[in-house]
Amino acid sequence: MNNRPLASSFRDPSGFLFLSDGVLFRQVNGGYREHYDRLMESGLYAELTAAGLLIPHEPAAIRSSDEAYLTIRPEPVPFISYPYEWCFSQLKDAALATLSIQQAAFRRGLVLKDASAYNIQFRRGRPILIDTLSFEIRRPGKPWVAYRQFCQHFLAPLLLMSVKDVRLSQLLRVYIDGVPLDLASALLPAGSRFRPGVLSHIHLHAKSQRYFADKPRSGVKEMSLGDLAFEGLIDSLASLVKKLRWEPAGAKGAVWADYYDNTNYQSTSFSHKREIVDRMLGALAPDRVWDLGANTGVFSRLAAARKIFTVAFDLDPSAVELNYLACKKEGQTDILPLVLDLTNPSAASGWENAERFSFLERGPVDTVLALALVHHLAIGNNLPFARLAAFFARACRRLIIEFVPKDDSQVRRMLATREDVFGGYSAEEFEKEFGRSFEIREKVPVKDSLRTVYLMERRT
Amino acid sequence: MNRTTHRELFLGLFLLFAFVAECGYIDPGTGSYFISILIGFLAGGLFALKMFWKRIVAFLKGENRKKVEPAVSGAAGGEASDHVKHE
Repeated sequence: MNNRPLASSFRDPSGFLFLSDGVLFRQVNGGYREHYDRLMESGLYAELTAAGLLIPHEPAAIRSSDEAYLTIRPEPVPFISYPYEWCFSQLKDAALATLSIQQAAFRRGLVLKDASAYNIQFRRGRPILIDTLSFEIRRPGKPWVAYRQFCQHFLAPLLLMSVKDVRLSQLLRVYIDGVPLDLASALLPAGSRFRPGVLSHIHLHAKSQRYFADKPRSGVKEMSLGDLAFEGLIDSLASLVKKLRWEPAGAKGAVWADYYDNTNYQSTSFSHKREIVDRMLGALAPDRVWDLGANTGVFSRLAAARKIFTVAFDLDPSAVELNYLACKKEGQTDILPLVLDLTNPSAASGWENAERFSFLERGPVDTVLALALVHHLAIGNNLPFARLAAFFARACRRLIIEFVPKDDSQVRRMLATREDVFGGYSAEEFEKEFGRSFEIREKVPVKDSLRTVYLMERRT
Repeated sequence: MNRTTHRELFLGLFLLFAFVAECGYIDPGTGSYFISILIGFLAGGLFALKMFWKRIVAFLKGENRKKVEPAVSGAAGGEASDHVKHE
């Protein structure tokens, strides 16, 4: 009875998540009994779990509080990610999955009572609803209670990313309950008012919110929405979301699959680097990998080929988009591409800074890949080796890291337009500073280059 | 459930003005409630026409009626929703 709810699980009185001996459980409260039973007995649970749209669970004998109707043990998700870390197509797929779930629920007399993007996670490469308690029995005529939330969490950011700038997904970091619709309406171009879906779901929606902000609810509260109108509303949202497009850089004018051919990835040194990293991964056999600065995930695929679940982080939304689309096309389910700026990684946020985990709170991971990354951090962002080593020591137990010296053409290019204030940037200093936190197990020069790949293990 | 007939169209319009109580833990927002009803009213009509048109096309193509049941498609590259498209 002393298993306390997780800090992120408090809004919904239907139940909560808690950890017991490191295992995640979800308590279903007595007040939610009727809705939970309908989910299970209507066939909706079986339909959605079979389709990979709802997280499967097992009944559990544990109880966390006297309010419990029962407790379930949901299947764990390998890595919790947030909408502000997703690329455009990930957010779009999550939105469409939510609408698909809503449609399936509707056919069985239930409805989604919330449409939070945080209830969706990526498992085996696909979006999945992780909140089993998101359903309620539909009362005939009742409008969709989660409509506002869907528009704020999915539609508004997708539209802004699609027609304005893909970087506007970062508004979700600031607004935990989704992008306010008046803000989305103000940011969208005037021409968007000529699109009926955008006009109604965003611009008129925002106006309606403003109009009713200081008006009594009676009247509106008693209005209702028929079944056909309800289906029409969901269909209208789905049609709008499906039409949204965003073209990542590197894919313009050509099939994006040619992206790799346009780089120097076929060089001898690159092939040798692949061999080194592949051999090191084989020797380490980690259970999880974070590929930091993963670009389109070339090296993530070496880990994934060994069935190692790999999170491929990159700063560039285009690279992450291309990686995600490639994973979908290849049926690659062991890679989760995410957008992350390592110099300002996702912070802990929400109530008491505890609703959403920071980047480092989601680690440490067994092994980190940091290839062609250190010079960007040390020279591009003025980060001293000591600070870098301290960061990696918090992030992982084992580290496969590439050092790129000053004489390398890439570094020379970086220093061409600025003063070289990096007197301490050398392989000796790199080894000395990283050597304080890590034991250097292996050091392999990359053929036909000035670069070196190191295998390090954190000192205990 | 998804069979859109004229009877359901009129039933839907009738229910539009029925009175119901509300529940739920998130605030739907009065303005959002109002606009969703308004959009639903218009979108419901279009949805009915869309389904009607799909049935005509299916009939002309000689397809099975069940194959054109309405559904949100395209989630997760079409895979996710395709599973729940047909019951």
